[in-house]
Amino acid sequence: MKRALLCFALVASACGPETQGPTFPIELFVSAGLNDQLSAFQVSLVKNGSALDCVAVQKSCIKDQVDAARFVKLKDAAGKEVQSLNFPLSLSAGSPSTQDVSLRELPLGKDFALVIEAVSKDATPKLSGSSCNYLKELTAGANPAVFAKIELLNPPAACDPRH
Amino acid sequence: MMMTRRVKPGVVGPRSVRVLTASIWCLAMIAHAEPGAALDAPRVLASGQVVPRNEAVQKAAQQVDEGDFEDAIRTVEKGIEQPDLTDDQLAELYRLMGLSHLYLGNEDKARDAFEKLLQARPDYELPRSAPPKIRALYARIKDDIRKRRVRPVTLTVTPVTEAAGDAAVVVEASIDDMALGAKAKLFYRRAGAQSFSSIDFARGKVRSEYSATVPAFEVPAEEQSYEVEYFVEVADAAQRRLAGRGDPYNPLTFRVAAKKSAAAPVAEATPIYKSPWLWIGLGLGAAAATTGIVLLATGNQTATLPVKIQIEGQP
Repeated sequence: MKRALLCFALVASACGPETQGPTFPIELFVSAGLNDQLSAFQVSLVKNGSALDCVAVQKSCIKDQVDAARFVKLKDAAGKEVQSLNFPLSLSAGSPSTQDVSLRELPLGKDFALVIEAVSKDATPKLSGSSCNYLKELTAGANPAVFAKIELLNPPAACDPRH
Repeated sequence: MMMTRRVKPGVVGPRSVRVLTASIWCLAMIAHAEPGAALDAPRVLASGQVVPRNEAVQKAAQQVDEGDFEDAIRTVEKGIEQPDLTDDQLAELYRLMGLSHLYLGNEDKARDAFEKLLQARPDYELPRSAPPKIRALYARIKDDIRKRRVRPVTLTVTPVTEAAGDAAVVVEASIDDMALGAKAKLFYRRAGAQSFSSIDFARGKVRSEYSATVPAFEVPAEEQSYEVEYFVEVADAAQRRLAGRGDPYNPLTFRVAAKKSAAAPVAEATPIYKSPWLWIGLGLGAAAATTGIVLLATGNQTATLPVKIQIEGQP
């Protein structure tokens, strides 16, 4: 009986996740002009990314520019399905500051556009700036880092980027 | 007109022949000279694209540099037979073949080679330093090719008629005479959606076999079945449609099956616990539950998006 228990304990101790989930690092460069008015970032993944004009996309809210069906449904860390992932700015100490955002089930596939929008602190949030990167492929492994730059939108956009 | 087989300056012979051969060699060197074309480094095309190393490409380039145009053609012909050439290497081989024929005065053969090259790189131009005569000849060939009809590509698509939801859908196609630089794409959308998404076809182990996979999240199983419209298009580098099955206005379709509803109750003639199906079902259920628990315990479905934020002007 003792041996059986020992075997069970050994087997149980070997259980558990051993492979790390997919990673998708994002390096975000924010222009100084945006620092005082930022409240959150909003991450959207759009299908058929190569058909998007990334320069035009950055001038206004993405939700007003593409059909809702083109947004890849994302599941936040709690498992809630959302069209865009919104995360409040909460910088850790350090240089550069980092923030970990979790996604459930990173959508895999090809030809996406990653749009990151800076949301203002206003009572009715407005789009302060936006970045747009074309992603050839998202895989279940370690995806290459995306470098995104957000600059203060000039002229400012009046739209509310939230869905 | 056939010229000398090996043309190098300094070849002993009548003065006129020496002058002619030296001139041709110089022209070849000028026309062929491109930045970064050292033989021990990857070749850089005029477009700035780096061609990965390949023995045949390097040897043929050296032969062209040295004016051994006929040897270069032989090297290219052998090199083209290699099974694992990339499109860039193949394009570079055709470029060298075209140049060699151009300098040998074989306009028709140069045209054939440049036709293949221009399929991959419609904007390819000779270096500006190339002599006007050669440039004029190349311009004429390019103009002729533009006016001619594109080579037909044979495309056979294995139609998909039905798909189970929540599972990737693989569309298979057989493509013969695929033009260099051409790409096959699968366009798809849920019937009624505004725009099509697209995915490139990938070549299989057999050269003419291709497949494209619609990701599972694009075809979720729902309460009601629904249709997905799709079409396949082969286009060359200049985005000319070489072949296709269906188009945006007349797409092919497949149906995504609805979620399976719970099984209807079975009329009982005998007590349920005597039914072998009950015990088989319970057994299968237990096995599925165990598998599910193991998968949940060992799988990690959460993806991490580490976001590094650098604010300008801050350390």
